[in-house]
Amino acid sequence: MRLADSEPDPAVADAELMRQLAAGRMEALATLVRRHQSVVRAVAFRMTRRDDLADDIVQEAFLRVHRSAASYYPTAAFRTWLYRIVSNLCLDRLRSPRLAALSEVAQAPQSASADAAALADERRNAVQAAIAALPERQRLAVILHRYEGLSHARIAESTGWSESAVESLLVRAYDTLRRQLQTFKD
Amino acid sequence: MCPQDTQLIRLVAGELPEPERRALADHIARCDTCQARQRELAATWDLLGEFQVPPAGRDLAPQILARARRAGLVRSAVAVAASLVAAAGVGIAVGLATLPGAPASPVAQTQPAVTEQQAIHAAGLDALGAEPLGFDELFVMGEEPQ
Repeated sequence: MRLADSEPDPAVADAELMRQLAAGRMEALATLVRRHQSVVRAVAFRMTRRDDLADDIVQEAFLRVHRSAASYYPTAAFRTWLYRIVSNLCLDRLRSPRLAALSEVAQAPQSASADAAALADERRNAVQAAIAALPERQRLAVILHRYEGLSHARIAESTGWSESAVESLLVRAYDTLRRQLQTFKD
Repeated sequence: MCPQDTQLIRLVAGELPEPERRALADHIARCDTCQARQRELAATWDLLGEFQVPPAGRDLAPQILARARRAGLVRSAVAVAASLVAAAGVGIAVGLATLPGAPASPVAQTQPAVTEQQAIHAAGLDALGAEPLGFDELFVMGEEPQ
């Protein structure tokens, strides 16, 4: 079982915080933000590679949590619902025309370097560039799978996609990444 | 039989239940092609780990709370205004209907009773920028009498 699927589940505590938030207790929102903002930000940053956009998405995600508190019903884990919110926000933001050139800007130089630190930087840049170059849905699927540790089923639940769609996205994404990063493998 | 790519992905990601993992591992141990496939995928998986997220420059909770409180105040103000309008609308309809000898007003006849809850819900839709505007759904003007 993947770690993210089996770690201690604070679902009861999150659901209780949402109940408190619905009753108007703003400190419940503060707790939810502090508990989950790093996860939201990580997804947003990996999707956009922009600190400012990532922060914007974090804020908007929790404002949506706040707005929805009165109608929130814990049919799924809070984190799953939160992933759905941040996924939608990321995809919406990336559709903005001013971000269309993100993948072009992100290309890393391929020249070899004898310096170990410089080589590590090149490798890091190449990984980021390769992920940024993926189509948005493949990128999101990889981010949720590789970095958030979600299983195929949890990704489907978090995005609203079918499991077969998730499988297809991941197969294509990992194949592309394998080919793009061939040079940097030991 | 060689596994599909999705099964190898699940194996490398540690998603497979133990019996399935063992069966796949047994096959891979006997299959050069699948060994190479797994090796490539595992190397890609490890390399992807280089994408680290820089720590956030600041705690966003205070800013989020401030925005949420402002939004909450706006929604409350709109809800109060909405309930006042709704009450006024009901008052007018009742007043028109109770005037002695007054003909039945087409507005009073066509205007459905609006509860405070409906008015607050409509105000909420307006606050979220929903279309059509909440009030438009509630206050549909009847035709003028000929």
